[in-house]
Amino acid sequence: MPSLACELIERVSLERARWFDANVLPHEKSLRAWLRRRRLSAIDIDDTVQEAYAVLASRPTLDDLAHPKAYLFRIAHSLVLRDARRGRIVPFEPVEDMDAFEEARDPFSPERIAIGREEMRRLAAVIQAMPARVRDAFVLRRVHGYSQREIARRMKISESTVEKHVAKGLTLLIERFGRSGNDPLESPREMNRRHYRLGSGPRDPSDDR
Amino acid sequence: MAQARETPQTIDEAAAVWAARMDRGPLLDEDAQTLEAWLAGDPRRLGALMRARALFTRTEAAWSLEPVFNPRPYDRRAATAPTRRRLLVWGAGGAVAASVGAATVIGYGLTATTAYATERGEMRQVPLGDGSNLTLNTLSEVRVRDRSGGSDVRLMAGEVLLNVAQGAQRACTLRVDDWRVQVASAAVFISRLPDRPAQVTTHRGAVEISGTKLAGSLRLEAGRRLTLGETAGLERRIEKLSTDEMSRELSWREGQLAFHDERLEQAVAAFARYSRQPIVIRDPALRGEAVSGLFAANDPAGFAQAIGAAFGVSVRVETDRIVVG
Repeated sequence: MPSLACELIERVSLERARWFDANVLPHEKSLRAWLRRRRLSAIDIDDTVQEAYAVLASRPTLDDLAHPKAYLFRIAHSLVLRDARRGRIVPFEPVEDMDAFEEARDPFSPERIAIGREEMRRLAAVIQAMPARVRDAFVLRRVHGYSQREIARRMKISESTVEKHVAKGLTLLIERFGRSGNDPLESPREMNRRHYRLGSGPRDPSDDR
Repeated sequence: MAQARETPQTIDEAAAVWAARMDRGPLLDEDAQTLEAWLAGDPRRLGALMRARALFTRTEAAWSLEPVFNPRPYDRRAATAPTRRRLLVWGAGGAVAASVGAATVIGYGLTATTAYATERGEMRQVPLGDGSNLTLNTLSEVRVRDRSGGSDVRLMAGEVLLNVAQGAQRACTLRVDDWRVQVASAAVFISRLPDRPAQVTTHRGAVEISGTKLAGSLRLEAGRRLTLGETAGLERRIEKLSTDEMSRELSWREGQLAFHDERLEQAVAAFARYSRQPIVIRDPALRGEAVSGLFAANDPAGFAQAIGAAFGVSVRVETDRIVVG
């Protein structure tokens, strides 16, 4: 589409989305917890997370960010302050040392691999809970890797129906993994497990209750 | 301003629809225009779409759930068959448990999947049994799953050399993005680096390449490199490499980086993958200069000195970086 300006669309390329998944989404939960402790309402938290992601996503380059977590928290902090000035959100006290949010990332610690499995288990649970047709389309697309066109042929449905199923499946994922702060899939055991992640780095203040 | 704010939920739902549309294939001009306008309409939308796309890419890893999820068959016979639904089968390495209906505790074959990763500057060899092995270059990650016929290797990031021994009973499947490379008695190098398409080079034997968007498969002989990406014109993206180019591609196994008329900025980027001490080229004119030679991957300072001497510019080694020019 050379004739069109697609600046914003280019910001969400697959490559950038992968980086985002690996480097930003893992911190969403602690970001939400941190915002909750500042007594933001559920809807203000959702707003802030979406907007903080947008600020990050609009950067021309992403993989030059050495400390994505600290950067994310810094953005969220300034958004909350801005909204406080606009009177939309109650103000809160200054934040603690942001650098404490950085954690060492050891790509091959057994803990990280264990968490990968735990996430896979959660993903499997979300997929299993999908309505049957949505699940079939989603599984054919993401687990077996067929294109939407091929899935339409196999399931004997239109491509636009496949697209709707995929969108529905993705919406369910978003609901489970993001938004509104309640995470029905996280059991206390998993919460304990989460602290493994901090083993090799400084303790993350946002994980305090 | 007086307008009611769109709820985050509404935005998420719209973002999921767009992510699904983008997954279908390249956007039509009209769609792209609509999406661009939608994104510009509220700052939160870009964030929501980024998260939707990111979560969707996470499910790329869901290929390891293959033994878990088998969609109902949708062939002709199934269409006329009684409506009794085939149940999802949760299996673990051949041990199969049928689940009925809703949330069942999941104990499936993920234990058979192992992740291997290398740190910056590290190299690692992973034996796959049967004399075959996998060599990971710096900053690389693979997931390996054993199955009865051989190993299933997915390259998540970085560069890897897969060597399936001659006469090995087990064949390997190497996956990257939507592509599968069947490797039986061959050596193949695959790279998946940021900001460039994945590439496959056959170093010994021949491999079969197939993709979910590709009809049929493609054979890649030794000495040839294929750049993956769009399926259209795939064969045209096969290039024949010289013996020199072939050995340069694998020089990292000896801890060396080999360049042949490479732009300086590309050479500098290559070094950055091996060392935490980045090289900064101050003079923009220098960045396009061509460099050739064989350098120790773990010695960016030595490389910088060589550059300084060759182009007659100063080199300053600081604690956290090296400044050239």
